[in-house]
Amino acid sequence: MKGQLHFAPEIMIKALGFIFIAITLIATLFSLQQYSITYEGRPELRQLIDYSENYLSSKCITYEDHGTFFKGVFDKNKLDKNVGGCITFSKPVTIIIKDQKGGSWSSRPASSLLSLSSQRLTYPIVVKYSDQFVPGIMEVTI
Amino acid sequence: MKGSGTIPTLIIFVVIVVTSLLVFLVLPNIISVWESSCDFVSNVVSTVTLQQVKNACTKSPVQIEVVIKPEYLPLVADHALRALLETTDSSSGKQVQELLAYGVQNKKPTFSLDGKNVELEKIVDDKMNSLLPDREYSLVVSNLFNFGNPNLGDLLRPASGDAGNFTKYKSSTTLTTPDMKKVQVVLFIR
Repeated sequence: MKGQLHFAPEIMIKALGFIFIAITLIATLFSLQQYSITYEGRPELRQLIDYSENYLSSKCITYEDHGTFFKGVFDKNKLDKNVGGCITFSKPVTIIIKDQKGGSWSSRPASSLLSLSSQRLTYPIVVKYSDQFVPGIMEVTI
Repeated sequence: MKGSGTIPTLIIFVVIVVTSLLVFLVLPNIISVWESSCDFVSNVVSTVTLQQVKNACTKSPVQIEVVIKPEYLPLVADHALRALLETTDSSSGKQVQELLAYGVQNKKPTFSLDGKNVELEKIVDDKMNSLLPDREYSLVVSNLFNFGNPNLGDLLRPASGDAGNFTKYKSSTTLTTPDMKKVQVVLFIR
């Protein structure tokens, strides 16, 4: 009986010791360190990419062949009529299209609507002339 | 013997716990109070309570800041490859994808088509300069041709497990040659 009385507290004390030390270590880690998580999203850039992808496949300006619209291939005749496309965006967007043959189209909002902090993206595109597909670039600025 | 060992064990335990508390909990806070540029340091220390110290000097010795920056990828390589293959060579009147297919079939980057001399490298370079001005590129066609910067593919290859980011710079598709063989075309850009 004496052995049991001594044995049980000794084990318990050791166990408690380990527990206290573990708690102390964990508490120390938390007291020593300060965590902070910052999310730096760029919604304007994300929206501009979304808009650009939609613009590239806009039916109002893309080349059509037997009911198939070619994304990223603009029809010159459609560009001449309406370079702004048929999709709207909540923010003023500037679109400039230039091709290898010297063709140039631009859609600019009123200068007063242009934001000071601008995002710009450049996409490779193709302009379909009556007889050939001409390479070019499209610059989108928000 | 067991009974005699209990008291030293208990004492050692208490000493360890108290020392641990002092070293790990109290000391860093004191150091942080000393090191931080809190106003309280310049004031009379005796008038400052423990709660005031806690409120005034919450700066920890170690600060871990995690900044999450999501990367948005405009798929320029995909658009460039598609546009390149669609474009027309003005001298031959053929699309680049047709000329590449002829070249793969002949296994030569320079050949004659309908009596006209075709130089694939020159045509591709001319088109890429219009599609992606001021950017390097490498166009690999069925391991036969490598136009542009031939080392760009190796330079852009991720070191380990960063394949997601690699898609920003790489795009691939297949072409069908006149003898109905499918060949791979890969474009790397930087």
